Amino acid sequence: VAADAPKQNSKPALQDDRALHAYLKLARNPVPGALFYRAARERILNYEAEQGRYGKKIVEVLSHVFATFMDQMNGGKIPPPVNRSLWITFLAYYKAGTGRAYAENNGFLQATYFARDVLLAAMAEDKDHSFNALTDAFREPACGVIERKYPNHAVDFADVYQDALISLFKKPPLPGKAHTAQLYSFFRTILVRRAADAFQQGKKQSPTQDLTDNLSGEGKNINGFTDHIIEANGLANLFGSDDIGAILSDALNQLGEDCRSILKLKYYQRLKQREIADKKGWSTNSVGTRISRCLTKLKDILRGGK
Amino acid sequence: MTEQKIQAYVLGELPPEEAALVAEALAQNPTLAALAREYEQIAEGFRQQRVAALQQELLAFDQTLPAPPPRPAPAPRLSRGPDEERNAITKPQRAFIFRTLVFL
Repeated sequence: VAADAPKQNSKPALQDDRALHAYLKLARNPVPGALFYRAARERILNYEAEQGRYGKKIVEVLSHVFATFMDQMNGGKIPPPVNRSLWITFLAYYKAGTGRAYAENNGFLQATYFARDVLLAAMAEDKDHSFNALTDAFREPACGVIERKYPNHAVDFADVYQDALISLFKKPPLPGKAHTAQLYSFFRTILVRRAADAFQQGKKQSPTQDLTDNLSGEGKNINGFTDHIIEANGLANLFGSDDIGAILSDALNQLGEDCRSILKLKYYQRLKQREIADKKGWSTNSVGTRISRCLTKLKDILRGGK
Repeated sequence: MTEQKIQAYVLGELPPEEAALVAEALAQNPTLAALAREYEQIAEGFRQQRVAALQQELLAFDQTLPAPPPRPAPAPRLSRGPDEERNAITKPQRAFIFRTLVFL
């Protein structure tokens, strides 16, 4: 067992959410976060229909909110979940985007199985990215489980862990079964069995505790939870009416081709300076200087335009 | 305090210790703070453009998903059939019945 494995601080029930967070950072096809969007869309459309709201406008708002959510995620503004599920965080964005309070105790807004459902879809439709995400996200808590059960390092964690993950992907749980409430709970059961096999004890482990209870409360007082997230992160500012994007677009068109392309690589595609240097055949230091110079030019154009 | 440092600060590219120093300098110098606000506008413009581009991709993807639930059709207005029409009490008849009942 890795002795230097960091301690897990988040709620145990949020392991699926941490895996989903890791997955969202990797998932790019057909669009970033497509499977999260698809699951969120289904719930939101059903919720809105129940509230008597229909039409394309909902999809427009939803896509704008999700694009904002993903942009914040890619910019590192949404850290791995510690206290709240990713679904609740997304609901805070949606509320900030619509300016409407939620109906309390609505089944479509429940957080309990959202992360699991998206992960199961990802395991079926996007194996490589979901495998990498789960491998990263489950390692720490799994390490803790094995350490507690086999404190004398009698089991090789790396082998057992890899084995359990492969087994999980070969035979993923069915969402409808009660024992598969959280994906991590299911995985932990496999892990413990694999460890027991490796330890050559052969006796059955006691069934692992279901970890879903901590999340079920998030569907209640949904406005309280989401308001807190909106206020703490200034989300209302992300959905303001100023169209600075269009003004900036005009200013960018007044820049030279070099500046325009370097700023786009840096701030639209979010490439690192080293990556831009590789692409352009420049030194990394010169990329930094060029970006700064281009930003100054852009600022001067905007100043002149005022 | 260089303009390059302020750019990096606004665009979130400084390590926390350096960012704290820049924040302190901005708090003490209104001219630098005004410059930082200009770069904040630029950063916001970049953000809005990224969001708009991703939204377009999402809307294209959305076309491949099941259509949103349609607005339920309004409940049909109940109209009388020909028999009901024939047997219905007309307005003058209703008035006659009313007057008779009052008279009684």
